[in-house]
Amino acid sequence: MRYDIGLEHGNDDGVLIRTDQVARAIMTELPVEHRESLVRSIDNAAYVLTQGDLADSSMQILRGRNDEGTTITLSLLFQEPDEDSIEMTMLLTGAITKDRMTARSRSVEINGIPSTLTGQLTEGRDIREIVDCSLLEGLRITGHTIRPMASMTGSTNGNRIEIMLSPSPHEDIDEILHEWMKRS
Amino acid sequence: MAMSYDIGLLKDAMPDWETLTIDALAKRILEDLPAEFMLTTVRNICTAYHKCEEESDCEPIQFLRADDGAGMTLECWIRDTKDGEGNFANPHIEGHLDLHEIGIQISANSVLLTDLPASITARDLEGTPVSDLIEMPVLERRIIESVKTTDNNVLLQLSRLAPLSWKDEMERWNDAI
Repeated sequence: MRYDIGLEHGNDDGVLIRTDQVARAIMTELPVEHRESLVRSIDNAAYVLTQGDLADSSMQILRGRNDEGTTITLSLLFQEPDEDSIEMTMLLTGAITKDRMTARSRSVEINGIPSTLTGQLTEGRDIREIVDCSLLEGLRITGHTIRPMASMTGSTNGNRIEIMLSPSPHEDIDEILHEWMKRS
Repeated sequence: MAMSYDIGLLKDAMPDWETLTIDALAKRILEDLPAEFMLTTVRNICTAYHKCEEESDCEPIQFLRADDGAGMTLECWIRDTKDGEGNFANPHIEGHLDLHEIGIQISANSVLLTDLPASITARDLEGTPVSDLIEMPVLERRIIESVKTTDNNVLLQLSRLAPLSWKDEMERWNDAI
């Protein structure tokens, strides 16, 4: 049986949907049997976003979890139009949470790491050398900020580090959907 | 490590599982659903239920389709019901099975046979078990109460089954919720 779960509402206005790097990685690793339901949910979310006054809203449309505690999410949101365009677009954006890390296409936040490790966060370095997460393949460090984390007793408890990543292209979702259709 | 997926919009609150009802065919379809699709299905039942509650006179909403690639499709819908006085009551889930290769469409309380030879449409079917015509577990012990014929289509109305309570019937699903 091939299951297709979700409501029939579609992206009737044909709003262009783009994907960021992490969303593409999550979609690429999605098992075949869930693809139709995801496409339908993206369409459902696009419909809801365009119907409502939700220009500042983000709609989460996929949640995944494994036994090791890694969670992934996909969310759809309106995107600011490009400077030379008035076309309305949406961005499908991905996020990964694993141990003390939350990663998105533009940044990775890690809580509670000792300051001695921050010397490794050099510009241009592949983020995969710091964070073992295949969904971040190809992204490079462009900078970082460090803030001490306060514990309940008021003492510092390691650092919260935000690592900025090199911009990656936002690609049309159709690129992935065509790949899926070719392989189905 | 394998991921479990939950796909659908997050914004909608849970249905009132106590009052939600389901027909026998939808129950069968959902019972046969592989476990990896349960969370996604529940998520979309929530969205469909919420929409049913939100909109007056809401059209039935389809939330699940399945295709075996060999001529059989399944569907699950949610729709508003009305009580005896015409007021909106609790939403209800219903199933639909289409064996389009052989021209049979099955719902909880009816079977539509299409493109049948005249020799069959002429038979006196009322009062006979539908399993004499179609052998399927979901149709066992169901009696044909009335027959309507148009052209080569035959609509068999079956002995009516009352809606089932989701809470009482969907034990495995209640655990997942």
